[in-house]
Amino acid sequence: MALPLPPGLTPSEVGFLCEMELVTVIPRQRLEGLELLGGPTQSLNPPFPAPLPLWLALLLKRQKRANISPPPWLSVEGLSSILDFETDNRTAEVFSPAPSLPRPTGFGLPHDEYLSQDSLEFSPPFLADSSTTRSQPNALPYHWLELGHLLLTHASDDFDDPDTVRRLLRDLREVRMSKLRKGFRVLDAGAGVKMNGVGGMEIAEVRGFVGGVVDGLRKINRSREESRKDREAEERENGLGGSSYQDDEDDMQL
Amino acid sequence: MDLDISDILADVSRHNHSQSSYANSHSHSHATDSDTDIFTDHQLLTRAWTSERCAPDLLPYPTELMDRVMSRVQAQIARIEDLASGMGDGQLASVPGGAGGGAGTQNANLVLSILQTDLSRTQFVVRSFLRQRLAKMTKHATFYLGLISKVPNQNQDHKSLSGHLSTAEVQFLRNHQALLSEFYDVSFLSAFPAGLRRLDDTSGGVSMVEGPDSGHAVVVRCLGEMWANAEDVERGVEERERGVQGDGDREGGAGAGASVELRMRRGEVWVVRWRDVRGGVERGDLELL
Repeated sequence: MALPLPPGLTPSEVGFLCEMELVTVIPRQRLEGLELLGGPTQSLNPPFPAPLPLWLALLLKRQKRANISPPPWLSVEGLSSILDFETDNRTAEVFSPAPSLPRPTGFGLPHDEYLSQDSLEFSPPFLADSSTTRSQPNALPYHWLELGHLLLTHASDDFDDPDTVRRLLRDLREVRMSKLRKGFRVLDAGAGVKMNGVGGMEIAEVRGFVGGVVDGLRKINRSREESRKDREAEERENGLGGSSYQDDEDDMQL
Repeated sequence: MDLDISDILADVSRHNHSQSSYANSHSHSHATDSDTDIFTDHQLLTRAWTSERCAPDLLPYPTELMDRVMSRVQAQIARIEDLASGMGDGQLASVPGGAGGGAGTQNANLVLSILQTDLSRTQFVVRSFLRQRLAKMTKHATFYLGLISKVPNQNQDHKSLSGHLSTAEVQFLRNHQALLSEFYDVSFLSAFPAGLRRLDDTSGGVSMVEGPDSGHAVVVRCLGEMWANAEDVERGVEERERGVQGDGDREGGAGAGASVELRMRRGEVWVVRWRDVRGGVERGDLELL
């Protein structure tokens, strides 16, 4: 098999996607701007902060050439306020909202090709400022879990209080996963289920289960659906509710 | 009428946009793309990879995007080789200031490793994208070959169905299927009765040609301001009617059209069936997660 995985991103691939997010880096050494395949990067002049993709930031951090400044939402205050929102009884059905998306560019036209350059709408991990120091402090971006985990693992000395942040992240993860699991009850074979504000890693975790449930429900309902389709097709063919009963005696053989 | 006017306005403003970027790119040298183009292409490649990994069906092949990306990758490989060989020569020559020379080569080493990491990341995405397409094609080989051969005149730049597979992929699929059917013939098909030997048999109760599962659950996020699939549902109903009255190929035709009406607003995340959102994903209004 060329790729034996089922449809859907694996958690490591979600982590790979997360590494394309931009974070704010405080360099310790000079480095000129580079022409990468993902676009050019800013030149690094200490002590001015610069945005860099996360994989590059982690590489520099590992070689002790830069420090990563954690985004505002990944702090004790930010996470505590989000956790309060999540555990509030009144919001038991919804997740904390993702950062507000910018207005769509609205350039897509119906005759555009698939993936044409003109009609691209930005989305994570390429939303501007989702994890730099200019991000919203009270909303969890799409890759919050992976980003928090990577930063705590490799750049824990850049945090004021890494242990509290770790504990808050774990609590947040547990609350959101329990909400997701509660939402399984409304899974249906046909219609959609709304999950605004969910994170990338959370989707990867439940994708296998949710897919299996929907497929199973589909199999159980298949006989019911087929009879409904047949009935609809019959109604359409026979127009105004006539029956399909054909009287053989009406055929005149002359 | 409102729809037409807003379409025309969007078209005009897009032409202005592309004209200004065209002017910008002409002010630089001809070889370099403008910065926004590289960034946009990177995002498009990532989106293509994510969508192809998450969709149970084969999506259209983004030919121009892949050509641009591959040419940039080749240019980057050439640049890395130049840098690596340039560094090798520089170390052999005598360096005047020892400390300055050391920091210089260290920085050059760092730049080289950064460029190599970036290159291998992009190559991973491209490779995974192509492998996912190959896996989907080989899984439903007879179905896709049937789709290709349904296009009456094999016009290579005909948009609708040949756009789903690149020319190399079509060749691969034909060779693969030929080898496989030859192998089956040699191993066991020759022992079957003559009427039951066809691999693309559609008569009888169950068709031998299995299309991809279009009812699979997928997670989508809405990117457009507002999206509804009412017209897709209508088209799906028409296709179903044609399929029932036409060649009786129920398995491929009946499952393909949208069946449930949905509406979404910007930023919403839904778990839906693939066939209901397929039109939206191909047009770029929705994003697979």
